[in-house]
Amino acid sequence: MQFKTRKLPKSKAAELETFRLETAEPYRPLPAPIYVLLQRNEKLVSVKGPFDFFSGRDLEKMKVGGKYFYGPILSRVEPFTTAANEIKKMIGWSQPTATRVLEAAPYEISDAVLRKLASLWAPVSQSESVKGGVIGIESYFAVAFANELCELIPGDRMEMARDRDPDQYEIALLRSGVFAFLALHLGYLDVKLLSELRYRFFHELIQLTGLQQFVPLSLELAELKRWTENLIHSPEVLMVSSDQFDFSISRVTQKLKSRLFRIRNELADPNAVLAHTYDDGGLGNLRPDEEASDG
Amino acid sequence: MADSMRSLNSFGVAGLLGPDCEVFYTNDLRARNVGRISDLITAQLRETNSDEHRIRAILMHGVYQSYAVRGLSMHHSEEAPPVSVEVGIDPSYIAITLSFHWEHNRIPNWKGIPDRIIGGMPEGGFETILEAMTHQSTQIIVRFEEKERRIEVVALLNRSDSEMKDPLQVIKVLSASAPLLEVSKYHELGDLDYTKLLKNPANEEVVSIPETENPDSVATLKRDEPLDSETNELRALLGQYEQTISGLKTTVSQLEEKLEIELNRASERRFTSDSQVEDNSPIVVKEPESEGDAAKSEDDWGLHFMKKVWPFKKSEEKTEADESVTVSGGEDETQVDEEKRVFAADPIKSEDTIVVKDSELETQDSEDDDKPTVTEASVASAKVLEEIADLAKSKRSKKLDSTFKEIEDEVDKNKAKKWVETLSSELLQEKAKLNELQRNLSKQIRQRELEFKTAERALKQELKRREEQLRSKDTAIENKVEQIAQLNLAVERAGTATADKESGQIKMKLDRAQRMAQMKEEEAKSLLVKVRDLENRLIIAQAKAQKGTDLQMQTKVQTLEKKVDEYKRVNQRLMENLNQTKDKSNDKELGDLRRKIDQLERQSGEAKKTMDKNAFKLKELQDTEKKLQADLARAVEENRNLRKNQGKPPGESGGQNAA
Repeated sequence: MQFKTRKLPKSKAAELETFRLETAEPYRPLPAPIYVLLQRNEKLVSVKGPFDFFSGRDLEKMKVGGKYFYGPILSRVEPFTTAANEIKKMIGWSQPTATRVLEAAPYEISDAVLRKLASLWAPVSQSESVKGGVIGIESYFAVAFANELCELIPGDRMEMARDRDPDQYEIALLRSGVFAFLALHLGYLDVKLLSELRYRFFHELIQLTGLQQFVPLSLELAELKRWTENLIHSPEVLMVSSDQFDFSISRVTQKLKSRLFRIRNELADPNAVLAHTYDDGGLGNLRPDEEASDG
Repeated sequence: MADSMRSLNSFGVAGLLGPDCEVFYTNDLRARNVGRISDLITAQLRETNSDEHRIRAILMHGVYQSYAVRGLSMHHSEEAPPVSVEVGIDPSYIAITLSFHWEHNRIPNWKGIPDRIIGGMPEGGFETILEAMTHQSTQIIVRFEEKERRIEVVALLNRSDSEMKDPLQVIKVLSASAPLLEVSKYHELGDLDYTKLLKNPANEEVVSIPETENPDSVATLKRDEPLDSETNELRALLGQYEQTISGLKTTVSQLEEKLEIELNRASERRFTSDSQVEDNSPIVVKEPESEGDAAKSEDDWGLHFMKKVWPFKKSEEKTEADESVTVSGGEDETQVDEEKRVFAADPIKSEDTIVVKDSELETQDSEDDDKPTVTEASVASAKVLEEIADLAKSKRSKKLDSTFKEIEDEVDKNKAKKWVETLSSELLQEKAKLNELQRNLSKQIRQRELEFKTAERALKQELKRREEQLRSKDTAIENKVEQIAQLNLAVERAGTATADKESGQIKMKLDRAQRMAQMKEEEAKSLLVKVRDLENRLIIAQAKAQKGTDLQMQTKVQTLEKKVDEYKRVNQRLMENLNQTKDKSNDKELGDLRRKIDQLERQSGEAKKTMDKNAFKLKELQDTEKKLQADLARAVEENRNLRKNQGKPPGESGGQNAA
């Protein structure tokens, strides 16, 4: 994944959020790169890239280190992680001890979840209106959302995948995250099931060895898996947009088209601004148009 | 009626219904919510005159079938994964599919299921429920895929006129070859207007809530208004608040009563805590309003006071028993009467005295603990004595004079003074205690009152806020309903005029886009085939051009060359022998030798030719390899471009370029 702001000036530290070691969770992919402040060099240097993770050992070692900060993209990711936690609560409503009142029906939960998901989509072009226009989300944010929503992928698998091939690790994480994000749109509201599906997808892409009993895929989810592979064809941040489902007649794309149509026409905020990963507030990459002109 | 079935070899209802079908689906059907899901589905299908009983029964059977196939007991379990449901409807038929998977160790026996079930001998829970489902539907199709352990049970309703009339079929599906099937629309159950669908259509009349004490709480509700759960919660909360406030009001009034009582009690003046004094008529320091009251107060002041405070009486009784009899018989009563008269005659003065003392006490209360009260008491007692003396002087009767005289004669002045001092100090202490108690009590009451008032105010504000929220919600709902009605009207008007034209254009666009997508897909497929072909050719060429072949040829050539050299040497030797034995030449032998030489020369020429041929072949193969590598590189490049184009559909912003 392209990530250009590997070093930042010391003055930036005031704007960044501190990374607290006591709250860090081992093997949870990081929503933003992590920087360490080098006092002598007067610089912030990244120690972990986006979607990298800390092992238990790393965290132990870091205790003797200096001050750590999240990258500036955290502020853009936070609405997505917050939404993931809220959706987790909504889905958790189905637990028998969650409330004293009558439990919400699955269609009510599905409706509420879609309303929350709608807040994550935004018009791809500011000149277009939401209604009838194209809405989208950058894969980076969809994956950050899924990382927060789903249960952790086993640590040993994560380490093996990253050590073997970082590019393959990134593409596996991106694809499996987008897969879980889109499956939620299809009404798969069981976090445990979603997590298992994501892990299966990740595992298959990484081609790790070892016997594993995976949850079976329905035809619909197999189709979604193929679609995700087509959408996320490289380990870079790509756009997932509503028009990508417009001309296909597979079952899964018809369903997604229908749900995104509702988001576009009823639920999405017309003034929402598309979150992006480029510029210094993101991962420091060039804007697509700038990149094209450079190329 | 035409059979709308399009494909059996695909999961989902789309293959069993026409392309104009609508599909309602959920991926979260569990045993604990099957009732509410079936409520919504039947409500959605109500206008189609479908058999609600059958639909509900099929859904319920389907859920428990997922339990049966895993060998779980028929009791809700959160461990069981949810079932996916699709309910499709086209103008002719209704199809319901329920899909789930089986466990590794519990593979259903697919062979002979139809025979067993139709023969009335189902095996296990899965087949028993399947048999029950056959009674509720006109056709049942069970589809499965072994690779992913997926089962789908399809129940078809109203299909009696179909060409395919088997009541139960079991089909193994190959999802790789399943066709892509279009439907009119897929609806997730959460996208339906469930509040509207689930309302009771019978309740249309207007219901008025009876008027209550609070005019603000009066509301007129239409039952067909969409009252969401939040509104209901708010109403319940409002009721609770009203109850709480009425309770609090009662408590406040009770406290007020108590406060009044306590105030009255605090104003009571007791001179002692003796049980005799705590009689039924407490002593209240108030100005007597009538003769009766005055008499009562006189009695209180006089009788108890004198009884209590006259310390010398007992000792006199003990020492001078005869005299005491006469005193107690006549003079004592007279004395009491006189006393009564004295205090009743100038009540304001006595009250004033007490008021002064009160004020003094109040100012000195805080210092009471530190300063000794002896001086005060002596002053007060002196004052009281003076007052008594003044009173006695000014309003004394003859009898009283004589009594005083007697007392003066009998009693030691110092002793009397001491007694009065002690009495006064006791009185003052009692009063101080009472004042302290009163102050504490009133402080507590004021505090309580304040707390309750604050709570009441907060509750009232909350209530008002909730009511406002309710009112605004009601208004919003009304507005929304109106808006929906207007929109529906507008859509109906606009729809009739432009629907055909627009839909035609959209269809054309869609067809074109689909064709393009199909072309692209085909192109991609052909490119993939080409790539694979090129790869195979490359592998073959590489295998052929392996160094091993070259080495073989070279060794062969070398062997041949060695042989040629050997033959040459033999030839040379023979020629020398020939020259040496020229004379002894034998024509026959010479001929043989020449033949041999010719033969060897021919062999040598052939070997050279073979060597040249092999070298040419090698060169050709190397050329082919280079060409194939170039082709492969080009194909890979084309493939990459194609994938990029597929990933970047028209209309997308430059977001992908960022990658």
